Amino acid sequence: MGLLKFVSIIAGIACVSAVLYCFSLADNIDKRFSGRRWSIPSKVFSDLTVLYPGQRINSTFFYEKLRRLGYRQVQHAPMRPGDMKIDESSAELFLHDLIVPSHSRPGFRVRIGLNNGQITSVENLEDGVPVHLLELEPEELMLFYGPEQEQREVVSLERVPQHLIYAVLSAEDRRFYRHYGLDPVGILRAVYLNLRHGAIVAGGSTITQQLAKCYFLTPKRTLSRKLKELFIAITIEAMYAKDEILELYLNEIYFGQKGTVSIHGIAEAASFYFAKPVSELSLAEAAALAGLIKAPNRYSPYASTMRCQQRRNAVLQSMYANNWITTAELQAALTASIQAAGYTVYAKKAPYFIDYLSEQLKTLYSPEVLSTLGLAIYTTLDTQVQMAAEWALERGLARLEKSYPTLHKREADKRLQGAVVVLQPRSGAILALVGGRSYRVSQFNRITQARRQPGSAFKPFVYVNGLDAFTPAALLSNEPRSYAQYGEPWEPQNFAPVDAEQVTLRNALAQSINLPTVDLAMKVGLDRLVSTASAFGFSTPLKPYPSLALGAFEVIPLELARAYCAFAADGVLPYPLSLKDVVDENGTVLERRHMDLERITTPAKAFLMSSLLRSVVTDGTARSLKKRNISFPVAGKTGTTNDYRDAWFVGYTPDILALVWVGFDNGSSIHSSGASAALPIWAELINSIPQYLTGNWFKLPPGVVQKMLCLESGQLFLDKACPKALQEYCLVENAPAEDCSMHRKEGAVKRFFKGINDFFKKF
Amino acid sequence: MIFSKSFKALYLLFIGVLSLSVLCSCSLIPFYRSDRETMLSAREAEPRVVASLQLTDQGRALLEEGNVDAAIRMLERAISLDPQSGENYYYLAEAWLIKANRSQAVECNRLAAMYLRGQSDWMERIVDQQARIEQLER
Repeated sequence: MGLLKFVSIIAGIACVSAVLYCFSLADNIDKRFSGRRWSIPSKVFSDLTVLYPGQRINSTFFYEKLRRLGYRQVQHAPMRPGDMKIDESSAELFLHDLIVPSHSRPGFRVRIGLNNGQITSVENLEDGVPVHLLELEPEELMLFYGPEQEQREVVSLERVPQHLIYAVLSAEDRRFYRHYGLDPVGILRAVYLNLRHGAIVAGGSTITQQLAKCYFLTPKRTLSRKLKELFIAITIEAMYAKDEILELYLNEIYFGQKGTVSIHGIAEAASFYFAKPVSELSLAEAAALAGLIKAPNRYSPYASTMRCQQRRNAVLQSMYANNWITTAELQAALTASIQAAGYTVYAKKAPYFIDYLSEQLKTLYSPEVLSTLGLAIYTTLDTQVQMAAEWALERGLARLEKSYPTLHKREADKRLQGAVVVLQPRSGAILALVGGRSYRVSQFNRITQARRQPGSAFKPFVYVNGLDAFTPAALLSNEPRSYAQYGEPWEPQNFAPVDAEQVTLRNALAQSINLPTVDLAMKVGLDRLVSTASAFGFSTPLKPYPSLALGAFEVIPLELARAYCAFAADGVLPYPLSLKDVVDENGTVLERRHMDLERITTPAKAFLMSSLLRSVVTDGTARSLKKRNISFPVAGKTGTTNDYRDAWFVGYTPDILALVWVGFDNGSSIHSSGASAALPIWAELINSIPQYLTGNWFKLPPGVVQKMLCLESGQLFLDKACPKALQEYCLVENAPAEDCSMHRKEGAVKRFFKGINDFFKKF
Repeated sequence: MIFSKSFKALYLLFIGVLSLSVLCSCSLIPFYRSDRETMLSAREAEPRVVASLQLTDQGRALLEEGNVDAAIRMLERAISLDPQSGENYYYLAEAWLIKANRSQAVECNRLAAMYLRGQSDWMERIVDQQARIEQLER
């Protein structure tokens, strides 16, 4: 009796202690579950992709884009979002849902007619109605991981299909809805099975215990840890409903490894292994995922399809034994093959662009916010243009190294470098940014961080200043002169000999002749040139020295590209945009960036500059573009610096602008000019993004007139007097109004009258 | 003297032919105009322009609904497809006017005026918009 009493007291104390212990745990558990449960990395997205009938496309980049958006090729008509059927003349897609801050639309089936690199038609297959404009969803570019490197998509239990729940319960804890966190029947069963097989073949841990282990404990296997796990599990069961526990579990559980990043949660696993939303998983796929939980890296279809299939079939058999699937369902699922989606180990797409973007994001959000709050960050990047830019740059640099073997350097960090930026001149949207040849080797961004001399690529900013006083037909001096600079004489020279004593302003820019450019800069005034450069957005120090006219002061390549945008956009300088919207998990827009316009010169002068820079392409230093299949109107400018240290080409149309730079980081000579090193890269890039090439040119703005001028004097052309006429654009305010004085005396009418008079005199 | 008179007649004839040729060249202007009209309608039939107009319509609808931020985004996208369409700038100016952003409204209004000049119905609206932007300043 005494013993019984003693045991009862001990048991009572143990029970009270256990309850008290559970209470102490409850507080901790509540804190953990009531706050933010998981860290969700913020995602960075590209811009939308627009498709329309009549649009030309680059088929290679187009299909690559669809693949990257998660469209999978199927042989049957598309039945589920993400299905894609391709034949020779069309691509049928079941579009994913599109959700962006400004609008959304559900996925639907569409047929895109294709012929010879052109979209011939777009048809909505749901109702047969033609579509004038189709938008593809933004592409995921990168995730901001926290130190734990976890990737997880959170899903609510309502969105998880019942067969997936049954599969998980069959695989891990078939009596989940019947126990209280601890399953004695399950433990006994596990003990029996393990004894029978002489090895550990089954575990007795319930789903709740596993959750307790994931959330609160280290993986160490000790008795005290096991006991603690038990108490936590019981407490969780007392505090939460079964469905809540299951939802937590499905979102928490580890599902394998993608490079250094761990995949957590059933939704993330569905997209990692089968590239599908969780709601679309088939029974066989659901069973395969449920089977993975036991040992994700062993049963992963990426590790072994056979092992994955065996484990899946065991789960299916268990589901059948529990009466959760029918014989027919079992048979169909058992024979289904495992078709994993395939993946590429996480690598930053457009890494230099992402770095540039991250710099701006850092001013808005802490790294912790970015790696935990699951923000959606929408950007301006067009991944097709980015692919084209990366491809064209690498090809161009490799070609140069092949042509000039001295440019080929063995050390990775000393190799020939290049950089490309592509902008929409009106909005300033950065469509592509390649800051160097290999991000792995060097993260130095040669578009946004480098300071290089622009050489002749700076000349347009001299000429735009000169337009106030000079027409494109005005004559500039080509005579050698000495200028004072840093207290010393400076005698600029032409790149190639030019015999003429005078050249027209248009020709001087087209042929990139140095002497008349310096002549013009001096006439306009160097102080004015510095203030113009500042208005065009150059932030680096530029001094009022004559050599400034020839681009002897360093600039940041992105600023140079941006400054050219003003010529391509009616004199309006855009702010370079990479970030568009930041949206939180609830869809609230936290940040919005719009195009920001600032007029810095008149539309008339901008038009005139584009016209002058078009001459560079038609008759000047960039005329080799014609040989490179550039047959539509383009304005552009080459640039080459002293000793061939830098090669530049900036080219644009009303729709797109691209800048290419080639050089060595240490300033060694590349022995090539802008026209031979940078221009071919530009041409290859532009030719591979036909969707941006409309063939349009700038409309004549108010303030510009076209005049017939005498080529020799630059004054109004006199028919039959002036030897050569020139059709030229001029600003209204300084268009020549006087007849050619050089040939006036020899005018045709005068000659006619003179002839008559002479004739009469004879009589 | 008779000789000289006949030369004067010849001279007058020459002047006449010259005047006629000038008149003929004047009569070319209407042809040029109709050419321009054809070009304009050709521009409107351009696939990219047609696609851009879809976005313009969506932008305008959003503006009418009062969803100004979304309207701005939509119109910006219309502009990126067709940067030389005046309509987009007009509606964008309207959106910036609602958001009381004077500098952007002014720039967009100017661009609208430039691209839609010569279209009297549009110009009326643009001038009216300009007045409203000026009022905003006050």
